[in-house]
Amino acid sequence: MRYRGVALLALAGLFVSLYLWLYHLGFYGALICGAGSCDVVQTSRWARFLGQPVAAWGVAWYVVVLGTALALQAGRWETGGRGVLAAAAWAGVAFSAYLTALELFVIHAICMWCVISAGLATGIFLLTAPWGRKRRSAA
Amino acid sequence: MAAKGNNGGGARWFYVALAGLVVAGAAWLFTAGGPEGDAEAPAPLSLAETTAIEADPAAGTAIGPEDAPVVIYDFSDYLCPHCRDFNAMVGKLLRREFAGPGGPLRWVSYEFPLQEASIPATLAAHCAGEQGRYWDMHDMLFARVDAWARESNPTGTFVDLAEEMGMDGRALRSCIRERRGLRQILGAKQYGVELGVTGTPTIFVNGEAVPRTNQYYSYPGLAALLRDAASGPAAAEAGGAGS
Repeated sequence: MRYRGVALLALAGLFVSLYLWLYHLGFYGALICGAGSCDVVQTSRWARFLGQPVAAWGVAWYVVVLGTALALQAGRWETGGRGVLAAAAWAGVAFSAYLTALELFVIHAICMWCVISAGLATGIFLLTAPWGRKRRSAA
Repeated sequence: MAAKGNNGGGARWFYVALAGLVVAGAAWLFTAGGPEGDAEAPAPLSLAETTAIEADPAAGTAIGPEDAPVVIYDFSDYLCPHCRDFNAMVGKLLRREFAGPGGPLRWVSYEFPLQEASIPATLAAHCAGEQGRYWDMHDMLFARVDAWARESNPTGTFVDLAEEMGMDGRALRSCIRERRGLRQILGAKQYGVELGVTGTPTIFVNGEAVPRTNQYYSYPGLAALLRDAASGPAAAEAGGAGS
């Protein structure tokens, strides 16, 4: 059940990241941004990481999480898949925390889509966390 | 393993939800995005970004033969009215007439943004350069300065101008957003500062700064020098350029 939840969250996050990546590639004139300052964040120097747009890293991360969750949901790649998903979840939540800190304390602007993505990464982390697994096993 | 397998109704709702999300997400991606004018201005440059860059003599954009007897450095700002006039009445005409293959002129344009508001235009010129169209955009930015000068975020106008000239507007927008070339632009400005440039336009003829009252800020003055240079190497010494 939890792999289904992870897959749905990852798919939603994939579209958010794709949206921001397409913006970087020049497909959109402006971002829809109900709250916050999306353009300020997305055009800042912090919108790139290791030479690539952060959104592109997001797309790659969500693809890995989605693919792994779907494989586990289908009963395949049990051993390796769990480890990959756990590592990805940790990396995702840590990177989201780093990006949120940059927005709050360095850029001084908040991007609504980044907050949504951080929320989705946190959800994925909670669903894959060992304590959640134990609790469900006990139940 | 409770989560495993395609078991019954649970699996069915999952795949229905997954498919629904794919359709909704794809539809949203196709319809998302607003016009450029709705966008906020790009994040302002921090002081660190503008001062921590070293002078870069290679940061200019050149046209004309490398061995041309007359080399002119031009430090200009796209928002400077005198630069616009100088480009329209001198620079553009000279480049067209004398900087062709085998011509006597090599013209090197160095960006010298005097204010932050000029930087988006310098980025647009640099990004047009990535498509091999620097000089077209350079001339267009001066000629159509009224179209973009008052906009807090002129990227959309730059894209329109680029597309008007048959360039790839999407690639230009992406390049401007990523501020590709910013280091080069600020390196060019720093180079000008090192050479003693304090205002725009400022030109150097064969390495010698030319005071703005000099005849070389007019088409006839520079054209005469270039015609002399074309007719004999001795004349290319650009004598009196700094007087």
